Amino acid sequence: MNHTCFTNFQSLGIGIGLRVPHYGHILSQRPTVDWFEIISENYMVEGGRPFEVLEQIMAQYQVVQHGVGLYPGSAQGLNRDHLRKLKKLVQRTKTPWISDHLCWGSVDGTYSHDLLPLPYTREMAAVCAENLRIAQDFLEIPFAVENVSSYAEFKDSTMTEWEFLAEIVERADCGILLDVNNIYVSSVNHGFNPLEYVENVPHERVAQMHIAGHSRYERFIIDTHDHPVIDPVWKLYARALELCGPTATLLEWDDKIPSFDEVHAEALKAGRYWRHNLEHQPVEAARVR
Amino acid sequence: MSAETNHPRLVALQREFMAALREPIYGGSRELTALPARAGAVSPAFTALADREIRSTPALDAHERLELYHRQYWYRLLDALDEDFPALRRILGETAFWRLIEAYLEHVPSRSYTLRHLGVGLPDFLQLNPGLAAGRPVAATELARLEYALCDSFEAPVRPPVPVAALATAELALQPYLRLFAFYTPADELWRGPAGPSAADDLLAMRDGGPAVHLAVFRHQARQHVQRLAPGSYAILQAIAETGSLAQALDSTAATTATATEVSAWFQSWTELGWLCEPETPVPSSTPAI
Repeated sequence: MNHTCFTNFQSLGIGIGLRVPHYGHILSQRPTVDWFEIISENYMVEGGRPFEVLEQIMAQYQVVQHGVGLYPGSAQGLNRDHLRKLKKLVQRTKTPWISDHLCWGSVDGTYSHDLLPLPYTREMAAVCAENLRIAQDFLEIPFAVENVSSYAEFKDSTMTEWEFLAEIVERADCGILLDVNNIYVSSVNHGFNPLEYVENVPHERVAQMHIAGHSRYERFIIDTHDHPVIDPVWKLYARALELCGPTATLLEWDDKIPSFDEVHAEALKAGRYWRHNLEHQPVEAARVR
Repeated sequence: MSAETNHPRLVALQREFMAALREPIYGGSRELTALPARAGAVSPAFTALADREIRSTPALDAHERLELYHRQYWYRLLDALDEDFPALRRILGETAFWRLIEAYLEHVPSRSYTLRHLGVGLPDFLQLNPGLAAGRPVAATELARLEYALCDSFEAPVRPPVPVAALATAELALQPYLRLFAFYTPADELWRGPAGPSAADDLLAMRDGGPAVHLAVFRHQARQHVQRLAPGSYAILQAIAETGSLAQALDSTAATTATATEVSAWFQSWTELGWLCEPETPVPSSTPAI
């Protein structure tokens, strides 16, 4: 069962990523959605339409910030200007917690716009933990770090990805955004058992989960977020819920985005696993929620 | 001690990885893009990085695994520029456009956390490299300026408009989402119109040697707009931006041939659109130092 300190003592249900093609539908139809996840970097702006839409969304819905550009795995440290802009947005959105990816993506001020892989070593874990500690302290809200999909492993790695993740979050004392689709994608690309990953992360630190679809090629999988969630990922999600308890869950759909109703229906499938989990968990645990 | 000196090997690894991503793409990776054909292969440094640092699996060798990141880097950046410069693509034609974009990305790396700013250096790059403009260097550069202004205007802030009654005495500025241009070519018509390079050439030939084209790019009611301005209107707005004073702006543009009725109509339009605003005042940061 997760500790609510990693969610700022808020319990959220099933959310959807706020995406531009759905702005019109959401603002005109006001669908019933537990919460929206926003990409922080899309709203770290001075004004304009993104802000205008966000103001309207925030008037009716809980918003949770998810970033793609902090890069806690940067060996040169965090970009302080980025962190300041992020804090400004945090103060505006009143997000209960904030998340970003366990990766790097820029060096010497040049940006890749990708979530790049890290060697799973003690030194790298120390760098990530230090960066996450700085971010969490500065932002003054709980930080959840997300496991990424990866396509390459480093020869220098001395631990599994889940050991690496566990060491970092313990050292930084932060939460986890457990992306079960990313676990599945990486398990196929690297040849590990995804259940072993799910069973060995520190479950009490899981603040949020992500589910998504991906694209399967002959020899690898790419995390494209452009398909429905596949059955093996739903099974992993069910197991993660068993171990972590009902956890705020977000369906990611970022490319070839279908109608809002289709995305919403896919997200609500997660509710089945929640209900099953609530019916089967110990009474004491159910009361905590 | 800085992270640089604390973790020199990790910093060096990330630098090498980034350098590998920024190499041009070739072969099968390139064939999946619109980039024109280009012979060659990745550098020995790319191959050495893969061999030294990355594990092979039965499905993919180390080089192929690094190549997955390499191609994703290029596909993402190519898509972003394609999305932001659709009219430039039309007037240059496919081959010239993609040759330009590839050269730009090779020489001007992204310096922003957001892809929205990726094209910020493209107009200047075109101006410095007229040979990449398919024989239309001025038109291509000006069109690139217009298209990037549309991206820039999308997220610029809004400041409180100055009430009409206060215009004569208040310190004035132009809204940050408003961009003014004096172009040699009809960039607005190129942006809206021609279906391809030859149609663009026809349009440019018709306008060759014509008067300067004054444009405003701005956001209104959550949409971006391009509007042509009369020379006098442009001159007054430009003077307001430079002096912050309506009286000085009108004095400095007294030579304009505009009539009082025209000037009055311009002001009415600007105030309706909220273009004249208060200047920016520095706000002390409420966030603590890091």
